[in-house]
Amino acid sequence: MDDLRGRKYVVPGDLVAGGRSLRAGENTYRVGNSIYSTAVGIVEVEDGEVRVVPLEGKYVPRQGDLVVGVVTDYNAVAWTVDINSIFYGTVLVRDLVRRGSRGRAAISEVLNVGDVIVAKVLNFSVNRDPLLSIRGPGLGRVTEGEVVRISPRGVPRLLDRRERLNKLIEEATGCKLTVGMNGLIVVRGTPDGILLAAKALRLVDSEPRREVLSRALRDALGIGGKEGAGERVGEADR
Amino acid sequence: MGKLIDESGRRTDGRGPHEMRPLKLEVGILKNADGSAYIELGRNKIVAAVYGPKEVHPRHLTLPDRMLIKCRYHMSPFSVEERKPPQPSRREIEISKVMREALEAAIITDQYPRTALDIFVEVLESDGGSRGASITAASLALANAGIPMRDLVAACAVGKVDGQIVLDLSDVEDKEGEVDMPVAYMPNLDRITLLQMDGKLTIDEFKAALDLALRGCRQLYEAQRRALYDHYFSSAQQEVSK
Repeated sequence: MDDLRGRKYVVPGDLVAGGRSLRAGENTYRVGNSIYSTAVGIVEVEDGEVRVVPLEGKYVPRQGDLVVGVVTDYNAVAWTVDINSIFYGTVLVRDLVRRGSRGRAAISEVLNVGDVIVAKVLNFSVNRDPLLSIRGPGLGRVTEGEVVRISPRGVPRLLDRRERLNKLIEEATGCKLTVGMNGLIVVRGTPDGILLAAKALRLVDSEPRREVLSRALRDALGIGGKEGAGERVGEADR
Repeated sequence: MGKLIDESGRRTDGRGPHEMRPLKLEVGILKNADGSAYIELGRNKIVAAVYGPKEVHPRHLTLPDRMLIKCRYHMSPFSVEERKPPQPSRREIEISKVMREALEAAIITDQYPRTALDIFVEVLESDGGSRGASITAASLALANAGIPMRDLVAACAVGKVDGQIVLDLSDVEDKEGEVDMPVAYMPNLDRITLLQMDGKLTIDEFKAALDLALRGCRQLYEAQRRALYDHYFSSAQQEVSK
């Protein structure tokens, strides 16, 4: 039969599917009539394609992703941004500084080394460093709050539409979360709220079991039932 | 002669000729590395750690079409009976090279071109067959770091001791025996990625030895998979067997 072998969890080299009916998607490869995994992860099938959702590995940029990064360097052409990935991100100076006024001082005034930015991935292929943009609503330099680091593999869970963990944390702590797909998260709110949110985010990172996590999160955030306990609603910053 | 295997066919440590030493594998033991693993095989105690993929330094070493893989096998000064000087010896440099090649065969290097991968292997205590154990551990560390791989690499040594072909040589058997032959193998793909031999074997003996080595590697491979499942999926009681 042409189908999945029924194994949901795989390690590199494991047989994911046999036959010719499925295409080999992300983190898999085909040899003859067999599709094997190249990563530790969970098998998913969608539209005739099998892929393995990896549990480990660094963030790999994708076009359109929101990322949070730290400016590490700049020159007359571009800023270099550490986005916690395999490659450094690039923000072009010509996107942000008018022609004719691109002196060192003018460039560093817009973004300087050490600045935290929220950016969008405009373009990326493995042959070129990811090109970022900070022009757009919600993008740009971060002027307040704290950055919390989690594993990039934990981000999809945080943003899961059914679980809505990010909303849960926002409501309970009164903080605003800006979640970068690269695992960096900007938390804005009161100092107490930020501490609580950071604790909750680290829980999301460390607890893979769905049921346990949801309970632990509610405990940590001090929510008994369904109702959010966030009295201190942070000042809306936009 | 005749002292390494007794009349009843037992080896110096009581094993039969086709028996492997006690094995322990652990994944993800270090927090600071991107991936790590630990192996105990007999008295061997070895830690493997992986960093990457990351930017290449120095820049000019960058490969435009694939990942640059660097590997360092190192024996701690206290890993052997008499202090070993800490600087890499000729032997360690050689093992670093053959290990890198044995692992590179499994890594899908063109998925992340222009990047570098560092593999560090530290032998804390050595008891013969450490290159095989190092490859076995390093391959788990690579999986732990999320490096794309075609298959896990398992490796062990076979040899000839007192005229007999035996599996998984211990330190004495390696030193006093006639032949030592380490083999690294990707079981799913049925590919050999390392094969060295020290000593002489007839063609028939070689065939028997290779066959035994591959059986040993498959045994290690099952242990590797179990270690990964235990680390990642123990909460989701899934069957490990095929």
